Amino acid sequence: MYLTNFLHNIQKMPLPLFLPDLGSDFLESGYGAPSFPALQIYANTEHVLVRAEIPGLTRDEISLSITDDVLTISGELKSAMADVKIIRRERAAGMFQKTVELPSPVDADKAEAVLKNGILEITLPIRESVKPREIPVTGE
Amino acid sequence: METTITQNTAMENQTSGEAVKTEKQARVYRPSVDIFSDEKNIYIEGDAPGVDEASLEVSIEKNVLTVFGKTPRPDLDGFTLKYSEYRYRNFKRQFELNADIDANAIEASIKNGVFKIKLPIKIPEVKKITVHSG
Repeated sequence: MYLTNFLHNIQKMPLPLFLPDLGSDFLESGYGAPSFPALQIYANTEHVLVRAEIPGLTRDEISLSITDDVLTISGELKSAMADVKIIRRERAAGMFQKTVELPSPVDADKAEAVLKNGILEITLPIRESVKPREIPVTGE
Repeated sequence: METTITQNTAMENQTSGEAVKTEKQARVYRPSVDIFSDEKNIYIEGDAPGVDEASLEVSIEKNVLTVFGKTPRPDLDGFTLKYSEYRYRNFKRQFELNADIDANAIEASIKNGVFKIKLPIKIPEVKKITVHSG
């Protein structure tokens, strides 16, 4: 099963974004529904923080790529169980890729990503040149 | 050999049982699961990101298996939420087991935010009943 997502343009989305609790039908809702993995994006003056729920994967199974202000997360969810009969299947499976636009351009080389208990936290420092700066006022 | 675990929807409408009394009424979300079986066991694998072995509770009462995972509240001091596809929540799901499951031998583990429960299937035993005259 191939799970892909289209580019989310953050500036065009209403903020704050309140989503209904879709329950386990999350992935089967079709067009317009959030796909895998579910993300949260936070920012302060120094950093952009992305939290993604990617249960079941280890850090060498996830690929992250960052350019300017676009983050792509990809990987493959493999089913470890073999020689079993499937009674029920609700979880995401297969290759996934998700691309999001970040609120600010970031310094990709200074990015840090930590995976713990299935939650991936990516800390991205905001690029110096786009940080707000105070302009001293001269004159009277 | 047909062994089933049935979803008891009446029980799942509980969103806040005794186990879920937290400081601020935390939401409880029903985690997605995959259920498999082979000759010996039934396997349940479910997604509970943020939950580790210390915060996962698996219990069985009569024939109802309850899985409850508590997630820690992340420390996001100073950050503003810009975009969200999920909310902070705990995880809970219940399953009704039929008599074929050996409840005393259930094993549960959790790794990378995925919990795995192994439910051994009881081999049906034939119990002979002695017949008295009378």
